[in-house]
Amino acid sequence: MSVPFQRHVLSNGLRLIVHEDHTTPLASCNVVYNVGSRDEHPNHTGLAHLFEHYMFCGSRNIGNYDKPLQKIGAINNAYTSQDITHYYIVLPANNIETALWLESDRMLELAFNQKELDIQKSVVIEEFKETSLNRPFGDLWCLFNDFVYENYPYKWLPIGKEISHIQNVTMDMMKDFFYKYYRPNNAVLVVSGNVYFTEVIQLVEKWFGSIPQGSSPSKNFSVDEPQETAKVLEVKRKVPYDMLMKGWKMGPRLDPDFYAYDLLSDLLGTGQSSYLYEKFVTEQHLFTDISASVTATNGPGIFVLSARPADGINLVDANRQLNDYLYQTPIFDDKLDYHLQKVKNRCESCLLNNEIKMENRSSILAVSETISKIEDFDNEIEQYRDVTTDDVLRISRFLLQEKNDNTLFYLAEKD
Amino acid sequence: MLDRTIAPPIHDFEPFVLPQPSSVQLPNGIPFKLFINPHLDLIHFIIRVKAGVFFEKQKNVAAFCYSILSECHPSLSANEFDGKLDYFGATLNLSVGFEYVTISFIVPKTNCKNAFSFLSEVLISPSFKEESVKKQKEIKIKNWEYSSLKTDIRANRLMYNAFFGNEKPYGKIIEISDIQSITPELLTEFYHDTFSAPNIKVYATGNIDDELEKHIATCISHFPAGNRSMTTPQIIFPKLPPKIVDYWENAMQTSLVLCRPCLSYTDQEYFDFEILSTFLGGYFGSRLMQNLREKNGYTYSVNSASSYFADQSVFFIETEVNNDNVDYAIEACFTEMKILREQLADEEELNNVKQFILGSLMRSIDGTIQYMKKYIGWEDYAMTEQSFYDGIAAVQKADVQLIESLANKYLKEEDFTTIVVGKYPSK
Repeated sequence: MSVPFQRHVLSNGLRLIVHEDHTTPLASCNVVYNVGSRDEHPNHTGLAHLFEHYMFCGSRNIGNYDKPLQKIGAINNAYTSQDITHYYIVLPANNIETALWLESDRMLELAFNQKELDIQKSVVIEEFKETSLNRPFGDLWCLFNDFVYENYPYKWLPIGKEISHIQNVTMDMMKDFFYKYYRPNNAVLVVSGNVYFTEVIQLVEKWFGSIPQGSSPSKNFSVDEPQETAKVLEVKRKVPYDMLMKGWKMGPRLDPDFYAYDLLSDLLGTGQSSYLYEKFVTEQHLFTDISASVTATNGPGIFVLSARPADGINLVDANRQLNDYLYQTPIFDDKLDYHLQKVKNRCESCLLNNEIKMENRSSILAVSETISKIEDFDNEIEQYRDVTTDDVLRISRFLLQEKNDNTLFYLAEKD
Repeated sequence: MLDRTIAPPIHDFEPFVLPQPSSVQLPNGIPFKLFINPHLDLIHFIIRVKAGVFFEKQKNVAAFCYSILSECHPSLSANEFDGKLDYFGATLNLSVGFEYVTISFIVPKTNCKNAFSFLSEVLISPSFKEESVKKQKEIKIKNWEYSSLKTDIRANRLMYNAFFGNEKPYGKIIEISDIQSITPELLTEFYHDTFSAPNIKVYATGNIDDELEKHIATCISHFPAGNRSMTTPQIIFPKLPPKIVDYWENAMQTSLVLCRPCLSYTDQEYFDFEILSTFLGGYFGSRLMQNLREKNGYTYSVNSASSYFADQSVFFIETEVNNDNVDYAIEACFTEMKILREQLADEEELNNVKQFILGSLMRSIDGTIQYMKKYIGWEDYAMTEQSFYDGIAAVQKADVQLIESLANKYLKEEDFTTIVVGKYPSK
């Protein structure tokens, strides 16, 4: 990352990052809390995401969060991942103080209204149905994560494992969650756009400075033992065709080898000129699509491969051929050098493209500072450029071993 | 002592200043517009071709034809083409709408010359190979099978089918047979009919110097000149039934669309109507969002919007609700329309809507890429940036009486058709 920024840490532990961009009339205000679905109890999944909804239901001194933002022409939203909860506002820069006023009051304390909680539970249950139940393959990732992770709390997704977990949330649970995780010392605030560092510090000290800090929440998660043998799961659902999902556990986002893993996934399964696409889609016509990716998580990630079989192809047979290729033969040929340069070039373009919009830069800064510190992501382009063919061969040998394989056969139920 | 109950002072919007693109007409007649941004080393191109589904003689030809262009390089395989684009660090996106095809191309400045020349090769002489068409059919059939199991997509398809009818290809609901019947010959014919200068406009933004501009202009000059300009069909919307129900026994939720024919983008009431639509379902504070989501928790999302065509539009409200709450949701939509017809909105709400729209307008022109996209939208309807200023003026001028009078004109229950896809009735 090459985004210029300045940092100021408040006495209550809130980390403020300011990124000035005077080419835009807009500003962005991002608040990231270092809490996600991995911080949940296995019997109370979906709580972090429900809490994100509840953050819009009024705070101690401000009954309605949205209206003041509407009055200044702002947009706002939020999302919850397995690691973090991210709130953001994009607004005309001359009204940045309104955003800081609102964010500080809900960091101070929420209104904790039972009726609002009941409504948001219903909204989230409808969201659960819309995203997980009322569409083909809606539970695919839910099953896959639960299958790949043995203990690590990435076993479930932010939306939650089941609707009953959301139904069973109580106000006491919400309050405990707030006072444990929504403290300034567990948050990062980023202000970007047409703003000035010194002025922002003054405003942030004014609105956030007196918010009491909390204790530091522990991040000791249950861990998975190293995998000893390959695993297979087969499910049948009312879907129009079969899907194959394969996963190999890899390191977290801050693993020094992350960049090599990411490029390995591009080499194998991004685009039509990738190794797996050429072999299994174009040459052998076993699949109609195949793709590879990595989950860039703070905790242990997954190297994912997904594929859709061609008509008339038996998924188990296709998987066997895929395994033969991955485990029995050298994957890469003498053109690896060229292909590696190709995926690096594309990756560099993507990184630059992501940083064009001010609000995207603001988000990247906020998330990076929450994961560790922004400096850890300095010169990402250089980090990708430095990956060598030897690195690719080394990590592919280490990762793609049959004993590390987790295969999910998601099969279409025959009528 | 800080009083947190008092909001900070609100400052007015600062004046908008719209930049002017430089514009050249190339020898073959293609307009080429440049939005220079010396800080942007990723060059963004948008090529607009009047080749959308309105112009196809057979269902699915337009979407098929332009979406497989990346497989149609005259001498390279799809894999080789894709690999070379990647090597340039370039991204190619192809999308097909009712009227226009959008070819979006992003490439680092350092590779821009070679990459644009390379892209031009496929645009000038695409080869629709039997093998690629066969492969794409299989993929498209699988995608069709997937989307045909989604209630929201079904509701959307039923809406356009109701307005456009089964007589024209663009009105028909796509079936697997429409995908199977595509041939390389059909695609070649459609491409040659549409990809020619009278139907093409090219836009670019980024750090484009004179030499690069000259090179791109030369490439575009080699696009086929042609002499046939596509004419958008005149569409007369039929009288629709009040309700269309598609029963799905296994649906976990029901998708709802309430729709009506409405005014065009160039209508003098366009901006005023957009304010009304925002009131009803166009932002988080809208009447429908407050009623269905924030008051009752019946939906994750509800919104209203318009789909604009050359001389008219379709206005629609869409949401997904629990099967048991469908009747309430339909009733709520009509109740909120009735309230807008019969009761004056309060000034504070109007002010919120106005500010929301002004903020949206501001965001829509922030940065040259955004501005270029906005500008293209104006050009599609033969408008200029003046419409932007007209929009601001209309928003600033609107009063609560205007909202009530527009609601009486455009939000009458009898003008709407309700489309329901799901387990309805639920018992």
